[in-house]
This record gives sequence, structure tokens and C-alpha cells, in this order.
Amino acid sequence: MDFQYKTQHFSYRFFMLMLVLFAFQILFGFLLALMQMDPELLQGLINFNVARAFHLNLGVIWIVTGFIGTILFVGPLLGQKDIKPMWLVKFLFYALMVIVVWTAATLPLAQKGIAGYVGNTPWLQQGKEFLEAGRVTDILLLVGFSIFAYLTLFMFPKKVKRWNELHWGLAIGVCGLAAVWIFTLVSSKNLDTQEYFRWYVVHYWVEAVWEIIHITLIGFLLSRFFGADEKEVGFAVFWGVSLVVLSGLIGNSHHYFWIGTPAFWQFWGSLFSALEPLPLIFCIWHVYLDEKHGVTPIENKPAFYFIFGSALFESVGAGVLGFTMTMAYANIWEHGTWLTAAHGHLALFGAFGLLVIGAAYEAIRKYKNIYRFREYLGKLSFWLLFLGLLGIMGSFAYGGTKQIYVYRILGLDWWGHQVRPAMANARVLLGFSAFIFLCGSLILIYDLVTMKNREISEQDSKVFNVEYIPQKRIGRWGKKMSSNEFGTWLAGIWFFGLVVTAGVFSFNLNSVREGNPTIPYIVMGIGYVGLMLITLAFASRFLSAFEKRQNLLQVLRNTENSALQTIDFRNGNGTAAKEERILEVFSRLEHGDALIMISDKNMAEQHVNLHKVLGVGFAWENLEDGPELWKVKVGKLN
Amino acid sequence: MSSFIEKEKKARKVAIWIIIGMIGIWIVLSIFSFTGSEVRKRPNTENISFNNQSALKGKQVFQAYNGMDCHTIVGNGAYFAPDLTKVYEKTGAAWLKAYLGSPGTYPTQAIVNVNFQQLKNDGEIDDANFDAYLEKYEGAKERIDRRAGVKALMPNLNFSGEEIDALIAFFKYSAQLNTAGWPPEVKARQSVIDDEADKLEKESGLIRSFSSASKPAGQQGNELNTNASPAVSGQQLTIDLGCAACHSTDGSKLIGPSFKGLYGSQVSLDNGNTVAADDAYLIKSILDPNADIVKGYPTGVMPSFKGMVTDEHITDIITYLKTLK
Repeated sequence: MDFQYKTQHFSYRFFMLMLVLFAFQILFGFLLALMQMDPELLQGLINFNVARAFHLNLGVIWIVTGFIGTILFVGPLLGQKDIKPMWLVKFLFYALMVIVVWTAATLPLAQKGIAGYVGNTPWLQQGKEFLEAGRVTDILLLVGFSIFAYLTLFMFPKKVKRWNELHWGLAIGVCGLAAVWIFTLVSSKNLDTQEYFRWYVVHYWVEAVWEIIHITLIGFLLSRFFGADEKEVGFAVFWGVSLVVLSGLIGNSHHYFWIGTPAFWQFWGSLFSALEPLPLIFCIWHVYLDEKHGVTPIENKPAFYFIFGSALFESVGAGVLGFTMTMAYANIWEHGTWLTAAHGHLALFGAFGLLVIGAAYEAIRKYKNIYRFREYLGKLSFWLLFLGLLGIMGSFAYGGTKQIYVYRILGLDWWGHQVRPAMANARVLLGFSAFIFLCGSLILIYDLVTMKNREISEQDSKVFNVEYIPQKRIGRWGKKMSSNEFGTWLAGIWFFGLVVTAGVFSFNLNSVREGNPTIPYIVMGIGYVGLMLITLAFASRFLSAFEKRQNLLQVLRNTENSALQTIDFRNGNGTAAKEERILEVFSRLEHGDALIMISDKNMAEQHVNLHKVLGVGFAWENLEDGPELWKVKVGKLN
Repeated sequence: MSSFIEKEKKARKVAIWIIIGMIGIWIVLSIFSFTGSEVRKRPNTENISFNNQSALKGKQVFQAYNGMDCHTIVGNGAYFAPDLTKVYEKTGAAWLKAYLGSPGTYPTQAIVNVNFQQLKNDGEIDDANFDAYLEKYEGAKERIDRRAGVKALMPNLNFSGEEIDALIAFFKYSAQLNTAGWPPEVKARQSVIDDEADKLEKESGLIRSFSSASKPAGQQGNELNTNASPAVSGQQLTIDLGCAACHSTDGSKLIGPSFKGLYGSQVSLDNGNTVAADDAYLIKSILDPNADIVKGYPTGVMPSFKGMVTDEHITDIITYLKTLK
């Protein structure tokens, strides 16, 4: 086994439990999509609301299980210490299973109208969206989260002064997980206060605590994969977390516009939640920067795919789609329609689900002591989940747009024969997308569980890697992505996001309110379709460049250094214009070829200067690092 | 590089102070959210009731049945069924009571009227008469005109009479919430609304679950006299009065006991007695339905039809029931 710490072994069982819960969540999701098409499917046996309660609660709990697995995997590395006592982790694991089984047994009581009220406290189940489980589950989970926070902090250095930003990020995250959960214990007698505190839990979890954990874990995992500088990651984590708190704290009040709370929240909620995309843009920018750090091929590309996908969907689903509906004049139309579900699916699964799946890939590979594995299933499942999720988003957006017109503009409210028929096409699209998503999920679970079958040992990998040879030309789609290009893609994504926003706002136009939906239909149509296409194209472009870079790094690793052209700078040879000579030889290299430089001086200055000219288009590998002789391999990348 | 680190250190301190400032603003706003002048006017579930059931109980019932994971309330929920925040304002109590008693079918005018009369006698509704009620609650009128007798998608949750009243109290409460102009007022031209409604209803293949389709919409249940034979007329009455929404004719269990084979059978009551379903029993069941409750069925769901039906109507219905062997 490839783990340094015993604690890390436990991450495996949490990831396995996560996969089981994930499978059930997806099956319930697919069932819901079918129920959307046939509302009477299984009616009486399992009603839509119970299936949805399962879908939501499983969605929360499998991601939390994944967080626990990931933190058990990275925590000991951060703190260089094992958890003590170890039985507490085991206890946490079994307790989690008991909680899941108990909750699964209580949720269906909604069909009989049994909530287990003592006074105003519902002990068995309570019919609050996202927090459907009853008070028993709430209390047990609070105990569980507290134990987990204790265990995580236990792994960290005793002296807080020795903590870096990653320690702080995770510490705030795990404590926040428990602290915010306390608000599930509030039983309000009035609907407005109930909703007020329900959002404390839901919003401050997903838009603050989870976000903080997410940023920290991404930072840590990328620094492991690509050897990114810990200081730089710390920089990203500090500013990411600060921006989350800055925007998310008051941003919560975008839930307080229409629920019976005072109207002044409309101003504050609109202002601060419009800032909420900032940390998310910051996060994906850092994924881009970190990815360029690596000079050795990473051993687990699917893990990176999912982590990249997580940062991307966080930016698109949470950032862009959140922005489109967060300001009061747009929110008044979006609120209570399928548009919310379009945002929710992309933001929740996209940002958090994909991240813990990425972490699971790496943890399971380590646990099973796999050197490399054939990655086609992992990548296939990534693309199916990606497409399925975009499709689900698009279907909800399409249905939601029609719904706003029929339900809000015209005020028709007969579900069976007015609102539903207007959304008929969207439901078919939804079912189709859900099916693609289901296929992706099944392949993903199969790949993670049977990864060992596709192992490539170190021996095999030498044979396997022969197919990688230097290349004369690199296609457009495989060229390295400059920061300008990256910025342009992000700007493109935001452009379509703003088009959608304009579309939602256009429901305020007089002509639309009088009953003509042409403008929002066209504008939102362009916006949503454009957003889906550009997101897909961007992911494809980014990952092609990543693949190409990884292939070339593999080529560089395969080449025999003795066969390479050597530039000798010893004895004052060519001191005047080292860079010119390097560039001249470099320019004649094929992609994947390399040159060797030998010098009796440190060549760090040349490294910096080459960066200025070539950007990230080369790999710099120190073969010998002084004090008498310096030897560097410079490889040409895409 | 080192100067950058120095600058960044300072920037971090500034950032932390800004965050502390934000937390301050947030705390102040949160306090105002509970103490501002707007807030003191907000409705309270404990002060609102309907038919002796409090809105608080209604909120609990709504949660116990997890209404939020099909419907939405103040816009939060599942978007799988209509938003219920303002439903009381639209339809009023009589329509809600009629509907919630048999959520599988939209109530006919007669059954809403029966509920109206009963609530009026109990002093729960103060509209002068049924027409005034329909004028006040346009949603009720629209539902009777367009939907009466049509199958609804909501599953039958077997609400008890008390639960129904509690839910109505809760909707009475939720309609009073100040939702700051949400949902936005409908300003569309009536012609556009009607055209779109007709188009969508046609597209959806609107099929009425039992044969009232031959009558023009809006007239169901208004003409209680027919010249047909008593059994045929009785059958028509069970449709027009909305009996068929709850009582099947094929032996299946809907809200209430099936009509099939009912006449002359032995009926077990929930007080442990067994009675014969003869004319006297059936008449009593129509005029005072909660006196004898059949075992396994909820109390307080069926309204009394006293004053709504003549003796002749009852005779016709019983004649019809005799034919359902």
C-alpha cells in the first residue's frame, strides 16, 4: 500500500460508502425524471415528494461522506500525524451508516403524514426542503460533525502559529460544517422564520463552508499533482476563502427577497450575491496556473479531469448561473421555477460532487497501490457526466423559461393541463439528459471499484509508453493555452451568462408582461445554448492542451538523456548570450524533444528569462543541481 | 518578490478588517430583520385559525406530508405542483375544503357549494351567498368552470377533516405573508391568457374522467332536474354533485367506500357496529355523513348535502345505487 499514514486507509471505506450513496442518489434522480414525464408513476408506492427527499438528502450526505474521505486522505499529509484514537474514525463510519439507514426509514413517513411531533419539534421527518430528515437525524449528524471536526483538528500541529493557509481553510471548514448545522435544530412556529433559518444551513453550507473546504482541497490536491509552490497555493486559498466570506455572508439574503422577511434585504442581497462569483473565477484561474507547474507526467489524469470539471462548473453553475438570477429584478421571475433547478444541479454536483470524485480517484489508486491505470473509462465517464449535467441544466433552463411565461406572465396555474403541457419538450430533454448522466455514473462507479483490473505496472508502462514520440506539429486544439486565451474563454462564458441575465430581466418589459414572450425566449435561448456550447468547447480545449502537455512530458521522460543535443556553458563558454543560444537550439527541436545544458554556474536566471520568452511551453528539469556542476534538461512542449 | 510578500501581508490585514466590518453590517441587518417596523405586522400562525384548527397545526400538517417536495411555498420547494402561498386568496376556503377532501379530482360546482353552505352555517365564511363567494374568489370560479370533474395529478393522501381545516388555516396564514410583490402581478391581456389556456389544454389532451364533457363548461351541477328515468337521473346526480370523485362504481377504493354492491350489504362501522345499507342508512349518510363512519375511512371529509338535494334526488340516487351490483 502506498499510504504513509494509517488514517489514510480509512478514506477508502468512506469513498466506497460514498459510491453506494451516490448510486442511490442518481437512481432516485432518474426516477424523478421519469416521474416528471409520468406524474402518476409509482404514485401511492413512492410519491414524488418522498423520492425527491431521498434525492436531496442523499445528494448532501454522499458529498459530505466524500469530504470526510478526502480530508482523511489529505489531513495526515497536512499535519504529518495520525488520528488518535483510531476507533473514533471507525465509530464515525458505522454511525454514518446507521444515520443513513434511520433517515431512509423515516423519510417515507411523509406519505402517511407522520412527522413525530412533540410540541412543535418534528423528530422523525420534517418536510423542509434539503433538511427533510427529522430532529433525531439532525442531532446525530451534529454529533458526527463535531467528532469529525475534532479528529481533523487533532491531526494538525498543536501550535496554531505553525498553521498555514491550508490548515486554516480546513479548520474553518470542518468547524463550520458542525457550527452551521446547529441551525437545523431551530423549530419555528412561523413560515418566514423557518425559511430564514433553513437558509442559514443550506446557504451557509454550500455557499460558504463547503466552498471553503472546496477551495482548500483543490489547492492541496493540485499542489500534490503538479508540485505547485505551497506559498502560491496558500495565496490562492487565503484570497479565495476571504472572498467567499466577504460575498457569501450577506449574499445569503438573496434568499430573503420574497419569503415574508423585510424588503431591505433586496438591496443587500442583490449587491453582495452579485459578488459571489469572484472567488469562483479566482479558483479556476488558479487551477489554470497550477496545471502549468508540472514537469513530470501526472499519474492520474481522470482525477485531474474531475477536479478541473469541479472548478469549471463551480464557475459556470454557481458563479454564472447564480449571477443570472440573483438580483431582485431577475430573481422575482426566476424564484420558484425550474431555473433554480438548472442552477442547483450544475452548482451542487458540478462543484462539489466532481471534486470528491476526483479525490476518490487518487485515494483509491493509492489505496490499491496502483502505479498507473488505463484511463479510458474514467475519461469516458467524465465526459458522459459532463454532457449529462449540461443537458440537465439546459432542460431545466428551457422548461423554466416556458414556465415563467405561462405561470407568471399569464398567471395560468393548472398544473396538469396548462403548466405541464407548456413544459412538455423540456421534460423529454430532461429524461434524455438524465439517462446520459446515469450511464456516466454507472461507468464511473465500475471504474473506481475495478480500477485494479486496468492497472499498468511500472514494467508494463515502459512498453506502454513507447507509442509516445516527438511530434513536428501540434494541432490548434492541442496547443498550450495562453493566459490571454484562457481569459478570453472565461470572458466568453460570462458573455453568455450576461445574455441570460438580460433575458431574465427582459420579463420586466411592458410588451412581455402584456403577453408577448418573444424577447426573453430569443435572448435566453441564445444565452443558455451559447453557455452550454462554450462551456463544452472550453473544457474540450483545455483538456486537449492538458493531454498534449502530459503526452509530451511522458515523451521527455522516455528519452535517453545521453542521446540529446548538449550545450556546454562551462569555462565561460558563451556567457554573453546564453539565452540566444538556448532559444536557437530550442527552436529547432520537435515537440517532445529536449536539449541538455551543462554549466559551472547556477542557471536559475536562464530559467526565469526563458519563461519570459516561451511562457509555459517548455519543461525545465534539473538533472544536477550544483555546487560544482549544473545540468538541466529543457524539453519542448506544446 | 519580497516587497510583493510585504505588500500582500498588509493587504491580508486589510482584508480581514473588511471581513470583520462585513460581519458587523450583517449582524446589524439581521437584528433589524427581526425588530424592524415591517416585522411587527407579520402574521402569526398562532393567531390564525379555521374551523377551530390553528395555522400552526396546519404548518405542521403541511410539513408532515412534506408538501414542499411537490409544491412550492413562498417559492421554495419542488416546482412539481403549484405554489401555495396565495392559494387561499384565489380560491377561498370552500373550494379548498372540497378539493382537499378528494385531491384526485377537481370538485364540481355542487360539491363546492355544499362545502360553502356548511362553512356558512358554521360561521367560517361570511360571504352572503355562493354567487358572492365565486365573485370574490375568481380562482374558485375559474377552477369550477374549467376543471370541474377532471382528474387532478395530486395523490390521495387521505387527509382527515381536521387536517384539511388545519391546512386551510395555514394557507390563510401564508396568504397574509408580505412577499414584497412576489409573485408578480399578472398584467397580460385577457385574450392572450385565454388563447394560451385553450391551446395548452387542447395540447394536453384534456379528457374528463367521467361523462360531463357533453355539457358546456360552467354548467355542471347546475341542473339537477332531468326527465330521464330515476336510475339514469340518479347516475347523473352522482356526477354533478361530485359523489363520483370519491366513490367508485367498480369496487376500487377512492376517498370513500365504493358504490358497487353497496346497497343491501352489511357495513362495518368504526364504532364496532355493523349496519345494513338500506334506504334509511343511505339517506342518513347523505344528509349527516359523519354520524356513521365506515371502518377504515376518515371522519369529517364528506360534507352534508342537507339543503342541496331534494327527497326526489335522494330517491333517484338510491335507485341508481341499487343497479350497481
